[in-house]
Amino acid sequence: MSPSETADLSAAIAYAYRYQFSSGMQALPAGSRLRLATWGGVEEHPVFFQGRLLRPRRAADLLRGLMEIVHARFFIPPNMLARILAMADPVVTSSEHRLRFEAFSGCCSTYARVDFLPDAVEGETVGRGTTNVDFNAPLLAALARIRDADRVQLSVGSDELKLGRGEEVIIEKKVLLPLRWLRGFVEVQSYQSRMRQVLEVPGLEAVRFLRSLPRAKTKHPGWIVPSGRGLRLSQTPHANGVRVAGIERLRVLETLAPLAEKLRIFADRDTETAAFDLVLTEARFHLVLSPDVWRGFSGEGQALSTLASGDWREALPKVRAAMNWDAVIDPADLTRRSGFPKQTVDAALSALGVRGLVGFDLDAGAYFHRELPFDVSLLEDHQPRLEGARKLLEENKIRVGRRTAEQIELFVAGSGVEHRVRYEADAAKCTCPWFSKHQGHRGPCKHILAAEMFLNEQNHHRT
Amino acid sequence: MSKTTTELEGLIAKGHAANCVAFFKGMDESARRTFAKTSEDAFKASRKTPILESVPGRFEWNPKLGAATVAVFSCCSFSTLKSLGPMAIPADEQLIEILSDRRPEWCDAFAEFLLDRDHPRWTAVRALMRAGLCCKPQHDSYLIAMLHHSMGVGDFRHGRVAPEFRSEQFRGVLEHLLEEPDLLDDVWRLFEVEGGGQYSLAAHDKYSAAGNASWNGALVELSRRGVLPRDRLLDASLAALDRGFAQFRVGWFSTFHEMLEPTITERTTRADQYLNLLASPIPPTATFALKAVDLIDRQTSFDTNRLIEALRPLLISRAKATVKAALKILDRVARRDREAAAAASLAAVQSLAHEAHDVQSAAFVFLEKHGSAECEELRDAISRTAESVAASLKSRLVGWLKMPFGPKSEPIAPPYSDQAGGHATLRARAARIPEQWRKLAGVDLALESLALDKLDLAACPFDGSEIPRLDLHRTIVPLKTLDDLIDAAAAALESRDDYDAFERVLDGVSRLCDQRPADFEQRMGPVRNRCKQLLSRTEQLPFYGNDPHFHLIGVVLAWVSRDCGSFRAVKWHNHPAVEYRIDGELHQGFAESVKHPTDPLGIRAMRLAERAARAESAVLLSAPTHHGGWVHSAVLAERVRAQDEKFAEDFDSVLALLRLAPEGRSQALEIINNVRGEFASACRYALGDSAAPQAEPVWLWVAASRARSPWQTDHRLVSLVKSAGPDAAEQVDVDFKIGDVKKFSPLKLQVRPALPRELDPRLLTVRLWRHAVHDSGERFEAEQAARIRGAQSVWPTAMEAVCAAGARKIAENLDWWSANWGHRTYFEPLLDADLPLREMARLLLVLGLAAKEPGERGLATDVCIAAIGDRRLDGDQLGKTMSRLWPSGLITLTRWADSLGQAARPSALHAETVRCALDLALAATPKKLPGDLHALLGLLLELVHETGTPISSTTRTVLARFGGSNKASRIAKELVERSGASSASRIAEIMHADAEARIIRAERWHARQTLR
Repeated sequence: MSPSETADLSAAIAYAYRYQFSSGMQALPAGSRLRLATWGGVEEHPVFFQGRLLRPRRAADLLRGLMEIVHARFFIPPNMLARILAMADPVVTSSEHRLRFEAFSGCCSTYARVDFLPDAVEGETVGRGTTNVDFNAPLLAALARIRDADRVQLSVGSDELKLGRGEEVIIEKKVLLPLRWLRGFVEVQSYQSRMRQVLEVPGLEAVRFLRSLPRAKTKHPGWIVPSGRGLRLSQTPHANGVRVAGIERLRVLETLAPLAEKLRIFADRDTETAAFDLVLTEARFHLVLSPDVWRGFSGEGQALSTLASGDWREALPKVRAAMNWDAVIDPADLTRRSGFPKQTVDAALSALGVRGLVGFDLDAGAYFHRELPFDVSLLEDHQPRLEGARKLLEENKIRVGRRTAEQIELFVAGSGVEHRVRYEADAAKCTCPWFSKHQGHRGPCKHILAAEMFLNEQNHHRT
Repeated sequence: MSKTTTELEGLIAKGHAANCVAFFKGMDESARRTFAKTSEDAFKASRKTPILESVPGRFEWNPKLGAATVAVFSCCSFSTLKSLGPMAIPADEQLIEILSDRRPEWCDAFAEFLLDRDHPRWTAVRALMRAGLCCKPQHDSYLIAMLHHSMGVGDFRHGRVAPEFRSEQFRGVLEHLLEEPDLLDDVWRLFEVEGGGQYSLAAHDKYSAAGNASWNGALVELSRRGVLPRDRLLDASLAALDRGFAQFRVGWFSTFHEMLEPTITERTTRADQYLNLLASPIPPTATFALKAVDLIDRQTSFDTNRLIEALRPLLISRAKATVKAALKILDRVARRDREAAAAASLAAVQSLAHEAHDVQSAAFVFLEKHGSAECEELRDAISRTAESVAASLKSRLVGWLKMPFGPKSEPIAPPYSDQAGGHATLRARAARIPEQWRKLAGVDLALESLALDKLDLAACPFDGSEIPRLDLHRTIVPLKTLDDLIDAAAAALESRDDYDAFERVLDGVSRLCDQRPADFEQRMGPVRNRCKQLLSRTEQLPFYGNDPHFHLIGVVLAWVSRDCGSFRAVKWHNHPAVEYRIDGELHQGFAESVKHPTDPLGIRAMRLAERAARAESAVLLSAPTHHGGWVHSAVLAERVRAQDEKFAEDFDSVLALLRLAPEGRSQALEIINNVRGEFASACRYALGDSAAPQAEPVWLWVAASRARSPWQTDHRLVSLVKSAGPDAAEQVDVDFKIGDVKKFSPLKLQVRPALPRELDPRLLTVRLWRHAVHDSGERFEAEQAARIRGAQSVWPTAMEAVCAAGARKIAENLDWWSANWGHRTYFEPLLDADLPLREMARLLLVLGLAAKEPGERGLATDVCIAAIGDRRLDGDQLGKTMSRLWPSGLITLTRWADSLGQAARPSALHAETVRCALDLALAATPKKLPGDLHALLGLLLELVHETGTPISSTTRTVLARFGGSNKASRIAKELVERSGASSASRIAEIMHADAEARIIRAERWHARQTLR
């Protein structure tokens, strides 16, 4: 984000993409070239790749699938969203002969990533890093016209049009990035790191399953469960099943599944998130779904306790310095290189994820280095519940109630009442409606956070 | 003369909008701004009450708001107007008048602002353009607004329709375009803009207009008249199809293209574009292109290889018709160019993996015709799709290839436990189970059949009242302390559908309501606050409605405020309503009965609220101890003993008896053997005591009798109680018939003994049936999940009445004309492996399998799979119920085929059960064969091939009568001709699964009995 851009942290960040040209297909004497315009990151207009798509039609289909997610609005009414969020472009990360295109749905409930493995492209990886990449309607139309028999060059960034800093920008797209969108985009990585593979089926069975899914939207979640040699959508919780709400979000996979060798399904039972990994010989298509269409990945508060504790802060710079655009980050190697215990390195990686500095690759089961081309440093401090808790602490709105060997009770001011926070056997309970509704499944409420901070402060003074 | 803010305030207060316009006339910008604050304040104040109730039941717009709108628009800055929102923009006439006078610099930006919203103000912007106040907006929103306007949903504000709009809403697109010819230039941009939200060319023509009033009709007509060039329209529509628009919106362009009726020459000129569109990710676009390619190819042959490559994506299309059409073209290509046959065959193999049997069949016919079984590449390709090939096709394919398919892959999850061993292991496991459980689960018979390789799949013979029912993993733990109760109440207030939580809090309040420590008010503050907040947000009231959530609010508020509240029948908005005064606040709401509560759970909660307000703690007899409403017999006995001879509340007593679990009854009887009192006597009777029942009170002894033997007539009580109704002293006899399927309530239930005219409200078992047969006076439960769960918890042993009510409601809404999301709750108890599926439960299940709503149908399918797997449901039972439904025409058979196909998939046992059910169901003879019967016959054919079991002779006779050459007849003929028998290994597999499921059941019962 350039300093000239205005930032309204209460709701959204006004963000301007400033591309040198519009991405699109360029006719060449022999074939065509898919030219993707870049902006942002370490350089203003980086050049990452020059080469050829080996299976152009499949690559185009995968990129179209990615854009389907960018355009998708699974929850917010379209017109409302059009005002809130003009289409946000995907980001691309280039490292170790891999190109990873990441995108997030406008409604903040779905994350998609296309990984082109070395077998997908032939050419030269010119640079390493992460940048925004311009995706526009004509490009989408052009992608739809690509056939496998076509000879299609791919360039991510362009040397020909590389302009000096401050020179004229040709294409400018202004969008409002809501904070929850941005936060979701970065926090989805920590959700993925907790997921485990639950199911795997061959591509043909995946196609059958995806085609069997109801076309009509339904209000209740479903469970994807094994059935014979394939999968089935059940309406009842199942020990070997994966919970999915907003099943319409899987529709993008229906078009792509015929290309895949297999479909792997990952899930984290605690957060009720699920991920789908289409395995192609030369690429991967990941789709990560939030627990419900109306719930994004932000605001779930899973990282709040980590952020509040801060054990990782010391390790963070060293861990960050040890990364070098690795396509697969080996925590053991980082532990050795940084000299910190593995647990601290893991926490630091999680914190780096929240800062948009690493992504998580379910296929490899490891983080990869990428730095989102947005300024997300403010997000960490701009957690509404943390902010609320800090305010309560500052205003001395916490008092201690009964304290026995079994429990500690604190009263924290709410709207016109005092909420009782009760610690019992390491678990905290609060009488506020938010906690009462979610029972801690969506992280602690601000009253519990404030009580934790208050108790930490008291312990600190005592020691 | 200078004007004052007081004058303006006066005009706004009087609601004089026209005078407000005149007030600002001729004023310069700086003078206008002096009134901005006053206008903004007045606008914000009047915006809070946009609608006024002038007299009870009569509503009208607040005239002050109209005047304030004019005032803010006349003097505020553009940024202020944007922040005030759409209500700050007056009607078109006033808007033009004000802006013509005011002439601000921001008119262009304002025009864009008027368009960039959910309801764009097209007529206002066009008026601004005509008045020369703004330029034509260049943004896409201008076109979207044009579409919005043409849909007839233009400017409509403050109850007034602008005159121009009034005339235009009946004006079609053609007339509109001819009257405003400058719009013809904008037409071409409509081919480049997808539309937005609900506004697009497709949406317009689908929902708003037809003929020349529609966009496609108008443009075709303009092309015919030569106003718009035909070639450009043809090209523009084809180009639009390749722009990646959404499926619904892009459909308009292909339809329009075809409406232009391109000649073969025009099509041939555009052959490359059509060919490219075959790869469109939008199936209808690809189908459209396929038709065009087919026409062109018939006239001028395409290059063979290019055409085969282009057709490849369509051969894996979801749409059956598209794949078949592509195969036809491929067939022509292969016939035309024999050298291309191999490539065409390789492409066609893809279609063998299609989920539809007829597509696979078409692909196989193609391969037989053009493919070479010797070709290694082709054999490899076929073997990769082998497992997807339909059972009915597999043998043909194997015969053609002259080789078996590769090894069969294993299911990704075994349907039964890994403990399964050989027959000896099963017998050893069975031997460890007491005989009573083996008998009820049918273990011995199943093992015998297994040993004899005999296919005998009758469902387990238990009725649910003789087995342990309590799920030890779903115990409702009683609340022990006040703090626990507060936390539980706070949580229950936020989880509306959690019926167990509701009961747990009621029980807690009942026992702990006398605890009032010094800081009670403070501790209860958040819960009290939340109750009031929830109550103020709705028009529902505690006790008088039938929502447990509001009963809970009523109980908690009464307990906290020491006041159970007062109710009074009043008129509200001119309608009968109830006024509820509690804790110093007044709430009003509508209720079924304004005189007194009718919901039994509401009455029980109200009695508890009265007691809690008096801080009189007592045991709640009917508080469930386990999920589903069950009360452990021993626990109830302890409650009765603790209560001694104290008065037991009527609804509480009845519920307590009906909720009695089957287990532990003799132990419970011992506990209360010496307790005196009416309720204790009834309770003893319910637990199986040999003493004779009494005549009074009827409601108590009926409940005791039903709890004692739910499925039998109590002859001793019959002589004492006369004509009390179904499931009073006499066991109900229920039947159903399907009436006129086009009417709202097609399912008619008949119960015997008949329902009495006058009914004691405490006869809950009879009331459940009164609700089931749809007595409009009965409101036991409604649409929401918690309400239905409440009804299901009334008599958990016997769910037939609730299942019957559910069946009626599902039947009324099979096609989902009304979004009743809660109805799926009716299926939930059927998942309980210990709930026997009696007639009404099966009816509910079978109707659910045909429901349109995916959640309902999916849940019914889950129940079907579970019930077949745990042996509660056999093919005979399923088939008999199905055979009574489908001939009526009520059922969409493709839905049954889909859900039963899924139910058949998990194991051989499931496949055999579904096959048997279909065989039996299709033996029924309807007056007229439904058009979608082929779907059911197709599934039966696949299952016959898969299981190896041919259809029964009765069904064979019925199917042999099918005449004609339609799809159903062809499949019926194939079924009739099919003979053979299940292989011994398959029978062994099925019977092993059957025996194991029964053993698992018996082991579970034994374990529960032992654990108790």
